[in-house]
Amino acid sequence: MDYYLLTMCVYVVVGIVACWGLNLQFGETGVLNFAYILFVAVGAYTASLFSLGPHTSASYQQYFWGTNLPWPLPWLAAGAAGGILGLLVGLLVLRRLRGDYQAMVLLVVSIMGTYLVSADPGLLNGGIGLSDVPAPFKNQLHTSQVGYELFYLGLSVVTALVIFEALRRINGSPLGRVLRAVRENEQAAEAVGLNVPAIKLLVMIIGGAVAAMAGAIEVQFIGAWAPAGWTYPETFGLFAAVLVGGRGNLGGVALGAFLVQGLFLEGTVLLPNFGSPDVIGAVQWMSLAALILLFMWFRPQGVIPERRRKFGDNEAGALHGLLPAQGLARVARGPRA
Amino acid sequence: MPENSVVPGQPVSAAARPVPGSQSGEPLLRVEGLTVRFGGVVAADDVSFEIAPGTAVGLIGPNGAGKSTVLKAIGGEVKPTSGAVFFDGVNLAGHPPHVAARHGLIRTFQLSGEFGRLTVLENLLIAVPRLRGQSLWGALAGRRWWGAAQEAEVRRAREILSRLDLRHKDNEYARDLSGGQRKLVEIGRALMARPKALLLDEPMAGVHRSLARHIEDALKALRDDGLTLLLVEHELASVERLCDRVIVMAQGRQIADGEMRQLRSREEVLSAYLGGR
Amino acid sequence: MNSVLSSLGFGIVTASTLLPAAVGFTLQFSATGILNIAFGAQMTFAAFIAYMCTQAGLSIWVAMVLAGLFGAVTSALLNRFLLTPFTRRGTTFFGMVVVTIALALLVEYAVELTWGPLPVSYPMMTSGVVHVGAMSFTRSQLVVLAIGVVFAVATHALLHYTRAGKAIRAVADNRNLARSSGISAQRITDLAWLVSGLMGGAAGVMLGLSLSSVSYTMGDTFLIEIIAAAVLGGVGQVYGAMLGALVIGVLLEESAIVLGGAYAPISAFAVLILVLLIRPTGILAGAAKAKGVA
Repeated sequence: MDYYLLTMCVYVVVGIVACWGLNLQFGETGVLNFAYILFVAVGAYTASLFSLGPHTSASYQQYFWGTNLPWPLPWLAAGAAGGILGLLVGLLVLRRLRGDYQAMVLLVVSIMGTYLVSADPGLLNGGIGLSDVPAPFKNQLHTSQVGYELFYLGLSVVTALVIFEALRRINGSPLGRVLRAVRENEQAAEAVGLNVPAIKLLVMIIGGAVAAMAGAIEVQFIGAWAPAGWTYPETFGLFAAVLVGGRGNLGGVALGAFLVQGLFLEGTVLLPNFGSPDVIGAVQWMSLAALILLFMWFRPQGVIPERRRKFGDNEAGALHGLLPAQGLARVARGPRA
Repeated sequence: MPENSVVPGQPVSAAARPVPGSQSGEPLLRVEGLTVRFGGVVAADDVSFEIAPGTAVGLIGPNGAGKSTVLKAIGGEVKPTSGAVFFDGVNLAGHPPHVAARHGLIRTFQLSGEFGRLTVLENLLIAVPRLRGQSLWGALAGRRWWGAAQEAEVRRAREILSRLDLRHKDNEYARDLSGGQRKLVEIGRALMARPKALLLDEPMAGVHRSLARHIEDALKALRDDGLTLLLVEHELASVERLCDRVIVMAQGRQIADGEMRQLRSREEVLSAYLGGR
Repeated sequence: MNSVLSSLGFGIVTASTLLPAAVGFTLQFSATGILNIAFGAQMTFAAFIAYMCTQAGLSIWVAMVLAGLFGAVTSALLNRFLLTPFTRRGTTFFGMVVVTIALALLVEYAVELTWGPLPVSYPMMTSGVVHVGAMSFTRSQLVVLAIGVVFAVATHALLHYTRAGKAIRAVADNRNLARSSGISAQRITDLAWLVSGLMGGAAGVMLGLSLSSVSYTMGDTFLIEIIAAAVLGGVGQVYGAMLGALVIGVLLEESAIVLGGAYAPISAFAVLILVLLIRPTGILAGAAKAKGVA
């Protein structure tokens, strides 16, 4: 029982980190990245390639390149790969395509990704995927299975906390406000001096890097990664978590990830078997879909809605009432002028 | 890297730094041969005019005359088919809106120019150019880096709000305000950006009369204080009170330019309004 | 060269299946502005309804008609009682996409639960191969082709010669203007969803026929091809959708020969992306709308 619980914990951490990245792009900035799962996959594949070691003719799986570096390098490489992919996809898609077209192109890019990887066995071992991905420090630490899992959970949590702090700082800063302005009204944001395409590109890069980290954490835990695990509905599962939990705030999104990823998608490990795996899978997705519809109808702001940012009172502007507007421009120019 | 960039290394614009507009005699805004074509329609046809700093100019004409188009082309939202827009010596034609804004030329919107789910104060703070903490590294550096600068701007924003009689709404979501109040928020926001000139697209449209008067007073005070205004407006009475000079457009072309009183009796102006579509 | 020509034949058959689907999808978008991701799943559902009918002894053609009717009714009801309430509430475009994705999942997995994960097929028609020049078709494929042509003609007739059709075009062009000239947008929307549901249902059966297999996931890949066809011709343009269907259909089959079967859908995807990047308004969209800009 312990074992399953630990496994679920790691999955939940992965889900939370992935949702945080998506929240940065979609929840805060309003970028509909329907290809999000692709970034998670890039991270997973990168981490695998950086720890599997070079491909030899004796290997039973094919991949185009590999090396064996110690932790945390595979994870950092994964983050970098996610960021680079974010840059490329952002440059390709965000350049002034209308919002709904952007979303369609991203969806198609995601599907193309699974297709291309599946179709070319020499690239990343095709549809079978990569396996036997080594776990960090596993050989050095001589502990039980449960002991190692605990250690890995620790690694994941520490990584997640670092990512959390970075995202939290962004969220609460003037930059966070800029992101939300872009989300609320792109045109007005431009008119007021914000370089909207550059901002969107920025969140594609950072969000992509975060997604990739989540993929890296997941792949070195499971030890395997195949296209079947990153089809485009997976992106939808993450969107669902962000919507249900409450977009725009990290805590809400984490809750959503816990509810959706943890309970719905992985929690079946804890439930008694009531049918064949297909039936269970079908019921899972249907329940998720029903949950989404319910939330979209009854509580679109999510369980924990985004909080209003209030500024504390200071003495400034305590003058009230219909003052003549004289001196307005002087005040506007401020003390520095 | 420069604090004002969101993406490191990104220059503000390819153009040179602007010359301060206080040189006497130099117009702040000079539009030359501005033409805007959509598909087969010529929305603006060879429009040219100059605006001296510290003046308020009205752009009037019947519906479909192309006034909004001209404003949008100056502000950068619409790309002109040909022509130049010199603001403070820099040709802004064809550049996206944020470039115009960075040069001090701010445009307000006809409809919904506010950020609904940001508070009034946040709406104003957004407009502050080069605020610490708006770049990625600034944000990651934490509150210790940008906190004080933000506090100062909050104080300035509250001053502006109190003079617009919106101080008590500073922590409300902008979308919860009335239409007229939202227009005032937009004007307040435009001011936070320390603009040299404002392009106002029907600031009084759909606003209750008392609030419209309030907006008018605010604009007049701004003009008196040296801000340059170019506004598109249908409320001719307000235009007459506010603007030293009006430019009349009809069917994409300029047909008159001068003081409102004089133009009232000019034949082309009357026929444009009476016979225009 | 022979295989290229024979693929052309297959391409036209694929295009015939795509045509009603793409037109249906486009009608829904132009009438209500909704990108209905559940369209593929709806097609699959109808295809299985037809399967059920054939299992009960009905001929495949009767089954197709019934499936079409089923599709029409469920589609209109769906729009009236699920999608419209959401749009009336002010749900954004993205919100509606999420709603339709959720719907797609519900329908698709409901189909799986009902009929199982394994593919089934319609009873084989009397076999027989017809040769037209270098191209060869089975009898079913020929019928599919014929049905496709019928749909093309019928669509054109509907849009140009009936009052309802003209109203649909009016609403698609400018919803508000149409409403102010007395056209009941609600009725037209219902009609649009009825027609598109009918075409989607029929397309589902046609797809099952041309693939010789009906499975709960068949709507997935096909949906992308539908979207590719619809976007290629110009989102919201029905004639464009028909042209797009022809182009994508032929492209799919030709690229299957040239690139290998696994890569065929990728060509459709690549076309879609290219079109969206270079000319998002599609081939037939003509000059960009001048209204609403000045």
